[in-house]
Formats: sequence, structure tokens, C-alpha cells
Amino acid sequence: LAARQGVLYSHQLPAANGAGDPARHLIAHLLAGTPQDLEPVCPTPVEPDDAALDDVQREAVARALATPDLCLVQGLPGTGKSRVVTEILTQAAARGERMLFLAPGPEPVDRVLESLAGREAVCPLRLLGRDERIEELPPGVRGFTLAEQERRLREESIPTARREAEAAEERCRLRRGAAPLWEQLLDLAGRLEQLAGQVRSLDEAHARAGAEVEGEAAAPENAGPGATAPDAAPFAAGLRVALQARDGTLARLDADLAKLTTRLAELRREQETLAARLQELASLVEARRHRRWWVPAWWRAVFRGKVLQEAEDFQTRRQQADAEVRGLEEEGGRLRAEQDEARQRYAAERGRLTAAEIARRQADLSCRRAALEQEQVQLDAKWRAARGQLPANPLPPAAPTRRAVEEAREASALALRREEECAAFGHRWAACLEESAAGFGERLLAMANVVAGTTSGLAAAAGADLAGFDLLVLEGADQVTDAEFLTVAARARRWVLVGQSAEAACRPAAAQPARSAVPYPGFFERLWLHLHCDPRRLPYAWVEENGGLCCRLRPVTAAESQYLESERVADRPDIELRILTPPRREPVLAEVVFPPSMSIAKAKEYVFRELEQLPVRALGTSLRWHEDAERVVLRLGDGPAHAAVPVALEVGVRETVHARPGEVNGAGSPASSWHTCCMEFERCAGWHRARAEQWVRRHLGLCDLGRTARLDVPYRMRRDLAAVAAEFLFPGEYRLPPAEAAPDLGVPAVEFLPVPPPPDPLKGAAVAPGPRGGRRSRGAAAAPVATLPRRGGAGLELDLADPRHRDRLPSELRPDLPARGLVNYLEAQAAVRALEAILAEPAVRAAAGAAGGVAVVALYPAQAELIRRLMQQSPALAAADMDVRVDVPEAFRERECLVAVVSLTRSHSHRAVSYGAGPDALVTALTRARSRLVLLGDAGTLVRRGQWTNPLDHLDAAASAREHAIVARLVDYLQGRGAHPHAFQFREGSLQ
Amino acid sequence: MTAAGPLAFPGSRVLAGWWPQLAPLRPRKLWAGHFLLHRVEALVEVSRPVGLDPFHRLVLQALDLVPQPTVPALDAQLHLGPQFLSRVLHGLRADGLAEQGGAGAWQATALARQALHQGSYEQVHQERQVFHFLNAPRRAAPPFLDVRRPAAAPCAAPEGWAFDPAQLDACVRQPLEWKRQRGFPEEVRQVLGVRGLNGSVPPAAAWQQVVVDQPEHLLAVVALVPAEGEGERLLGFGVKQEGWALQGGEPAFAVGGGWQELFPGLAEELPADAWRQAWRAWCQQRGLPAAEADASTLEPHEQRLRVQAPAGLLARLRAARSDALKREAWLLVGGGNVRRVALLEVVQVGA
Repeated sequence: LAARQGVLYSHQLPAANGAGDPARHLIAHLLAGTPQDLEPVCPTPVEPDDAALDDVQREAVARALATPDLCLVQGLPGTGKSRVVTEILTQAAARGERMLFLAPGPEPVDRVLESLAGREAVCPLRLLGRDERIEELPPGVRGFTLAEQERRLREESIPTARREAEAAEERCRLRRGAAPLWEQLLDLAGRLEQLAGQVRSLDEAHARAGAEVEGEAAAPENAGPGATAPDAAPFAAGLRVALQARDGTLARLDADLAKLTTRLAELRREQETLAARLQELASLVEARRHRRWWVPAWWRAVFRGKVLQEAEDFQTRRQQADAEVRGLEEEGGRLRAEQDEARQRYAAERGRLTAAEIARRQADLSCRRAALEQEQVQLDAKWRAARGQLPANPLPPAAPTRRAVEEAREASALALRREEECAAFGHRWAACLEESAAGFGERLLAMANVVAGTTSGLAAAAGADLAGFDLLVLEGADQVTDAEFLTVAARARRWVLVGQSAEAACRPAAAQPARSAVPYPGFFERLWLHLHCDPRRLPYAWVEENGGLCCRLRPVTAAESQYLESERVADRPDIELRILTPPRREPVLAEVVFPPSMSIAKAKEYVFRELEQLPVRALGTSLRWHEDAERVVLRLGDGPAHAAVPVALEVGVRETVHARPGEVNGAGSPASSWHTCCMEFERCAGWHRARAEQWVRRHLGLCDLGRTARLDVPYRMRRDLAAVAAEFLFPGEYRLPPAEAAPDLGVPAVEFLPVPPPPDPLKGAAVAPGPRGGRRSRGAAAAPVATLPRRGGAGLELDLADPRHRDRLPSELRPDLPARGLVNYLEAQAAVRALEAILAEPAVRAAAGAAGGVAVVALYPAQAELIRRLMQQSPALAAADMDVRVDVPEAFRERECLVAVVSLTRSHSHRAVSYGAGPDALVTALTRARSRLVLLGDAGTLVRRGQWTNPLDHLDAAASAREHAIVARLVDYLQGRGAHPHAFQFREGSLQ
Repeated sequence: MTAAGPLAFPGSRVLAGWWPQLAPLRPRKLWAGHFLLHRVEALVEVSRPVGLDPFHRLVLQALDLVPQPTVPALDAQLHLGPQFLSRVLHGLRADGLAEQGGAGAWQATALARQALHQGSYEQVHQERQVFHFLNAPRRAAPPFLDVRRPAAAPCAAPEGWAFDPAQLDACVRQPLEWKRQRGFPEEVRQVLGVRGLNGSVPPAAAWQQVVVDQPEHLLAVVALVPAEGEGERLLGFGVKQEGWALQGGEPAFAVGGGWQELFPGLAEELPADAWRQAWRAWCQQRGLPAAEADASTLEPHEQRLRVQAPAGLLARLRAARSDALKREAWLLVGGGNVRRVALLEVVQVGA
């Protein structure tokens, strides 16, 4: 209306009946059975911190966060209620909401608070009740109390702030004191840098020495003496002497060579001249010698005269010249060899002198370098000493350079300024904390976004501002009354109630929850019935009858069956209609019977098409919507996919059914065989979630208001154990986890140790437990049906208030036991023996640490004390060195363990007796174990209790009925009638 | 809530009893009237200057002091515990003083630096506030009226009762000068939910955006009094109808300049006939001859009605020891929901 009009007028507001208390108004409205007025809530998916939450748990969180008023989360033991609550609180805190988290008892509060520790978004505050003491809280939770936080502020935060401020001041003082060191370091760094430069120069000079000397050695040859270094006079002098010697020798030889060359040239000219003359005379000589007078040459020789003589002279002179040339050439060669020798001598001398000079110079450089290095070492020691006096943070100068020192000095100055700021801030902060210490409680209360406590603890904190919360999360809501809820509800705008179903424990297996099975359902249960859409409440059933299918449109009691009238369908005479016609009432169609030839699909289609009815029988406890790209699916139960039968109802709508034989339907008749797994709505046919919801509402009358969530997967327990526990305690209510969440210890999940052992059928006496171990009976075939006494128990229980009973106990035990209470000495002994055997198992020892250890749950405090005493006397347990907690069920609330040994204690000789404080205690005791449950009890007393259906002892009718249902189902197992025989073992001896 | 009944107006003696409280205000004109108001409650975003307390100041300073101010690093400096500190930081973020950057590090915002510098900052938050609008059937939209005291009482909605929340939105968008003149809260920055409920708002919070209109009835004496300087102000004082108790002291509403626009009916001068009728009715109630009443001359002046009456009428008043001669008689002039109130001054003709 507000959205349409843009404004709401006061006369359009709901009547001011309880207007000051919206919770009262809403609860009255809901309990009056008119939740239809509520707008359905469509929560948006959440991304949980706890990634291990399953889809149902996530949906529960999303619904709790989205609800505009009320949300109920119902869960059986071990299904993750506390985890869901933790997630709700975390998510709501992340959204900036302020929450009040309450529970009737402290255990659930503390368990959730422990898991909230370390989540930054959450700031929890634990309220203490009048009867609670801080030291009784778990260590992880104490820190959340106001007193502890105030104490921490006074005794830790403020002194720490002061100490840190003083420490910062001290650091400042040290830093300021180190100021002169910076000058010293700068000076040292400068000198070290200088030395390093010098060393570097020396190294360079050392490397350069050879080339320099070579250059100097070459210089005199080129430029003459004087080009050498002053300190190299000996080298230069030696070099000069050698050079002079060389030059002198070479000069002399050069002169000789010049003369020789001159003479040689003369001789060569003479040789040429003589050769030319001889050539000239050759023809004449030839003609003369051979007397060739007919040639002109003979005649010219004749006319010339003495040609031959002349030729011989020339020849002789030529030979002489040749000889002299040869001599001169040899001389020249010798002179040149001398020259070479002189040069080589010089080179050798020069090389020697140069090498010596280089060595001398390098030695000199090395010596100077060593001196510098020594000086460096001394300065470096001083550097290190000065640097060591600097504060470590920021880092002192990394290298002994002026630049590094300057940089480090700047960083240190910066750090000093920061330290000064820190010191000043620390003092201001400590002063501020001291000033605000008085009002810290109020500030904490205002800041805390999760205020947690027990419902009674909230009353104790009446002075505090504990109103205006966005969300109230009440765990254990099944244990509060509507008046108690309304007392706390006014403090918040929205409410999330988390509780356990009392109804589940009372319902017979597979019964339809058409109405509450609890005679006087509590506040939470009533709200649940009104708000939760449980498809099992639909009245329909499909049963087999004479080979055909019978569709029951409403339950027909045995008394009503006489009014059933049969009628055939006109156009389908093979289909029979059964009409209920009770006197003075309108006749109604009750059943439709189909011929054997008609399949379930055809029968369903017929009923939907012709009768416009959708008789759905569901096993699921909630409407579970699932959407994907192709379809919207409403899951109504789980079934094997291979056995599913599709039923086309209308365009795009398909129902999937599967057979489940052997079930008992709501009317108590056998064999309701067909159940609906899901309804599918195809998106391609135009279906979407809203339209599908509307369709389901129109055809089935089912509407999920989005304000309830049901957790039914027992993650705590091993699958076998969960299956048996489900059957004992909550038949049909648990869905088994998809994977094992608890260690499998390799033995049956549930074992029953009868105390006393059943009588041997052959001897008629009890089989004494002994080290040989028990007779193992598996399944119905091996169940000791005949051995169970049917008329009463062994009468082993002792009432400590009765002196005659007390005297039956060993004298050494009597003083330590309480003045009153029930004990069962034999059972306590059996429990200790069982414990010894369990702790001796390697698998248990390996897994116990991580899985919560081993616990003994006794239904009576006195029995728990007796078991503790007997355990102290057991050397095997002392040697086992493992903590075993022994207590009553109430002490184990919100706790779990790997193995639970449950001592039922009661053993009455003739009458039916109750077990413990009530059925809740029994449920608690039987649901603590994760992997293994060992029950000790008197089978006869259990059988007797299973036969008694009336109120008993301190139990009212409802509680007695619940306890009877649990015990009766346990007796079924003892008698071999359990549905999971492989998971249950009846041991006739001890565990050893 | 009261049902709408016949409108009752205070009598002369009641008005005379109120005069000592009103006289110090030197009213120029007086009216008594029944006003129907829209009491509109809406979620608004307001911005108010808030002082920065030392605790938060130091936490903000710590953001600059710690090199990488993640929650653990800050807690190492502040020792408050990470969860408490995280809440403090989220509170600062809600006020726009801190923000979380990458790697979980927090930093002070520009607003925080301004707050650290000035010691205060503008805190923006949402709250439900009440605004009053004067029901004016003849006008297009009811004008805003700054009713400061809870002087009005809930009443039944008359026929055709309607309110357009856009009117409230329009007021928010008026200039500052207008808001100051009309007394509209300047700190209101935005009205939420006026343009229809925001679909993105979760259902749990959507109800907070619903605008609720409650009809209220205000019986008030309205006085036009001189204001500081040249102007004049209109002050409305609530009246408890039961016992006709005037809630003096602080007025239920006060309008400065522009009151004529808000109350156009009051700005109009009454016709002489209305005065004459009121005088005649007054005389009639006291058994005075109509002829003598008609023979009187009426001179309305500010909050007074000066009547020059014939000697005969005056004699009769003297004989009846009338309050009018003691200047304690008051007259209601006009019709409708709001009537002019005038003090009778009866003098002899020619006096």
C-alpha cells in the first residue's frame, strides 16, 4: 500500500492493539493461525564466511537475514544449528546490524561465541547472569564479558599504552643521544671514502706501472734523457748507459758499414766497368782465339793489338774486384750482426732494467697500499663502533659513505619525529583510555554488535541499554515460553528463533505430521506449525490395492470406512470412485481406485485432468526450491533417480514420482508406495519462480512464507550412527549426510551392553562378562529376542538415600558418593571395563584428540560420580593417559565426542521406570557421539518401560510419551527389529 | 484521536484570561482558530555538525601514525582488541571519517582531516522526522508549518484527506533563505522513500522509508506581533481545549516574513460588515437593543474594536456592570475555522 500510494495514512495503519509491542502483536497473530497475511520473503543468496555450510544451512542464514519480522530455524541435534547461528550473526554484523543473542542456557551461547572469536566484523559482549561466574565460562569466552574487558582495559591496555609511550620516549632519548655519532660517522665515512679513493688510485697505478715504465723506457730512445720520473733516476741512468753503449757501438759499426758500403759501391762500379769492357772485347777475343781471320773481329783485334792481354788483365782485375766484394760483403754481414747484437744487448738490458723498475714501483705501491689498508682497518673499526651505537631501526648506514650516512641520518630524523609522535600519542591515548575507563562499559555496550547471554542473564543486566537491536537470535527457543520470548522480543525489531523439534521425537515412524504429535506443543513448536510449510501435511496417499493403484484424497479412519460408497466412472467403468457419505454431512470423494493396467503416470494425469486435484505424497520436510537455467524445481523429497517416473501435468509442468514400498501412511494403512520427488517447471514454457510458487499454492495449498528453515543433516555423526539415532530419536527426520563427516572406527556405530548380561538359555544363568568377548549378533536373525526379560529388570539400581541400598556398595566408595541419587554399581563397573577396552583401541586413540575425545554420560549425577570413583581405581585408565569426561547429559549440551558411553543406570526389578531427568536428557545423551555410541543398561527394565505408555514418575504425559517412544524403538533394536541392523550390535559380553 | 465535532471557540472571559500572557508581546492583531495539520513522519537524511570526541580523534590520528594501518597493526598501537577496534573503525566509516583501502588498510578521509583540524564534522545519518503541513483545502498543496511544540492532537481524517509526499521533497529542495524564513530544518538533506520505495532496499529496512501522514488538530491563538526591526511575526500559541488553557511561553509555531503567503486568510482585512455583525451579535447576547447597536460606530484598530455607542447603550452596559466598560470584553469576529479576536473599547459617541 505504501509503495502504491507513496504515503500511508494513519487510518490505514493496523489497529494499535499492542502497537507498542510489535512482537506481541505478531506472535498473537501467528499463534492465532493467520500467517497467511504475511508477505512471503524471498531471500537473496548469501556468500557465507563458513564455506562448509550446505545449501540448506545457507538458505537458513539467508532467510534469517532477509526476514522482516520472524524467522524460525529448526534443527535436530548435530545438524549445525550453532554454525548457522554463528553465520547469521557474522553476516548480520557485516551488514552493520546490532544483534542480541540469547539462549536459555549458557552452553549454546558460549559455543557460538567461541566460534565468533577472531571474526573482525563481530564485536561480541557476553552478559553474565546472576548465577553465572566469569571463571566458569570457557576461556575463549571470558574475554567477551564486560568485566573482563574492563579489567583488560585497566590492567593491560592502559599500562601497555603507557609502557609503549615510555618506550617510545626512551627510543627518542637514545636517538637524540646518538646525534653526535652522525658527525663522527660522517667524518669517518669521509676519511674512509678518501682512503678507498687512494687505494683505488694505487691499484690503478699498480696496474699502470708496467705501461708507464715501458713508456719511460721508450722515452729516452725517442726524446732523449729527462723524460723519466724523478724517482726513477737509477732506472733512467741505467737505461741511458745501456742506450749510450748501444748507440756508441751502433755508431761505430755504422761508420764501418758506411765505409764498407762506399768501397763496395766502388767495387761494384769497377766490376760493371770491367764487365762492360770484357763484353766489349769478348768478340775480338773470341775471333782471335779461334783465329777466325775471316771475320772482321779478328782483324779488329789484330789492329787493336794485345787484345788477349788486355782481356786477361780485365779478367784478373775483375776477379780481384769480385774477391774484394765478397770480402766486403762478409765484413758488412759481420758488422750488421754486431749491430744486431748491440741492439739485442740493449733490449735485454732495457728489459731487465724495465722489469726491475716495474717491480720496484709495484712493490712501492703495494707497500703504500698496505699502509692505507691498515689505516682503513683502523677507521673501519671506529666506524663499526660508532655505527653499533646507533638504534637498529631504521637501519644504520649500510655503507661507510657520506651519502649513506646522510640518508640514514635523514631516516633516523624521520624515525625520531615518528617516535616523538608515538610517544606523545601514546601518552594521550593512555590518558584518553584512563578518562574513558569509567564509561568504557557504556561505550562497549554501544559498540558491541552481538550482545549475548542467557535469557535470565539479560534480566540481570537490566540497567544497561539493551534495546534497539536489529535482530534477536534466540537459540534453544524450544525451551522458552511465549511470555519469556515476549519479554526479550521488545528489544529487537526482528527475531530469529532457533530450536529443536519436540514433535519429531514423538512421531511414529513415517507418520504424516498433519497436526502436532506433541500433546501440548510449546511456543516454538506452535509457531513452527503455523509458519512452516511441511509438504508431509498433505493428506494424500497412493497405495496399492488388489494389484491396482488407489489414490486417497483424504484419510479415512476405520470408523469412517463403513460410510464409503463405491461408484464407477461413467465413461471409464474400470475406475472406481469411493465417496465418503457420513450421516448429516456432505459426501466427499475420498478415494479413486484404478485398474491394475493403469500406470502411476496415467493415474496421476487422470486425477489432475479429470478431478482437478494434485494428490502429492511427499517425504521431504520442507519446500526446497532450486533454479537453474532450464527449469525451476520444487524438491519434495529424495528418491533414486533410476526409479523416477515422470508425470506430465500441463505444459511445462512435470511431476516426478518414485516408488517406496513398505511405508505406513498417515491413516495407518500399509503400503503407500508412490511419493513425489519433485515438481519441475520448464522455463522454455514460460515458467519462472513466482509463477511456479503461485501454481503450487493454487494446486497444493503449499506456500513457503520464507520464514522457516529446517536443518536435518546430522553432520556431527557418522552415517551409520546417524541412521540408528534417527530411528531411535527422530524417525524420518534426519537426512543422512552425503559423505562421512566423522571418523569410522571400524565397529558397529551403536553397541548395547546389557547389565546384567542376559541369561544363557541353556543354563538359565546370566552370562558373565569376561575377557573372551561378547557374542555378536547381527541383524534380526541373530537378535537375542528370546533372551530379553519381558517382565522387569534385574533390580540392580540402588537409591543412595536408602541406607540399606547404600550398604550394598563397597565400603570404600560410600563416603565419596552423594547422599541421594540412583546408582547402578554393576553397570558402573561395566562402564569402566568398556571404557578400558575403548581407550585401548588404536583407532580411538588416534582420532580422539581431534574428534572430542571419549565421554561417559550417566543419566544420574550419583552414577556419574560412582563411575568417576571406579575410574580412579582403574590402572588401565590411568595408564591410558587420556582425559575422559564423566557427567550427566545436561553438562554435555553443545558438546560432542568421538565415543560416548551412556550409562542408562535404571534397573528396576518389576515396574517401569523413567530414565534420567526426562526425554530431552536422553536425547542429549544419545546424540553426543560422533562415531560410536556404547549403551549400557538393563534390557529387562528397558523392555518394561517400552510396554508402559502412561505418565510415569516425574514425567508428564507428553514427556512420558516421548521417552516411551525412544525406549520402545531402542527395544525394537534389542529385539532385532531395527531398520539398520548392520549398525547396531547387541553384545552379550564386554567389549574386550 | 478525537472525532471531528463542531468547532468551539473561546468566550470573552477566556480570552480576557489569556490577555495578560499575550499583552507583553504587544500583538497588533489576534485570531483564534482551529487548524488541521498533516503530521508527516518520514525517513530523512540529515546532516548535523558533531564534535569529534577525543577517543575517535586519537583513533583517527592513529591511522596516520601506523605505517600500514590494518586492524591488527592498529590494535598493536591501540590495544583495544581487534573486534572492538574493528567496530570503532566501522563506526567511523559510517560517519564518513574512515575508509578501508586495499589489503585491509584503513585511512582517514578528507572529512576526517577536516574534523581533526576543526574539531567537528558534518555527520550524515538517517532518522525519522516529523514535519507539519497546514491543511489547506483550497490550495494546491499544503504549506509547511514549523510546529515546534506538540500542541496538536491527533484527530480523524476528514473526507478527501490526502497528502502528496512530493510536497515534503519540494520543501527540502527550497533555498536556504526560504527554509530559514519558514523554520524548515536546514539539516535535512534528502527525504528517503518519497519517490516510491526503493526496490533495492531489503524488506527488513523498507518499512523505515514509509511516509506516514497523521491528521492533527491544533487549536491556537495567533498573534501578529512586531518583530525585531521593521517586520512583524505571526506567533501561534496552542490551546488545550479542555479547560481552555493557553500554552503560553514558547509558541507552537512562529512565522516571520511571508506569513501572509502561509495564512492568506489572516492577511485579508475583515469587511466592516463582519465587524458590525459581531458587534450586533455581542449586543444581542446581552439583550441590548438592536437599534442602539446599529447606531454605534465601529472603529477596528489593531487588536481593539473601538465602539462609539449611544448614551443609552452605554447606560445599559453600566447598569449591567459589563466587562466592556472595564476593557475586559473580547469579541470574536468573522466565520470559519479562524476568527479575529478583538478587545472591545466602548465609549460614548463623541468622546
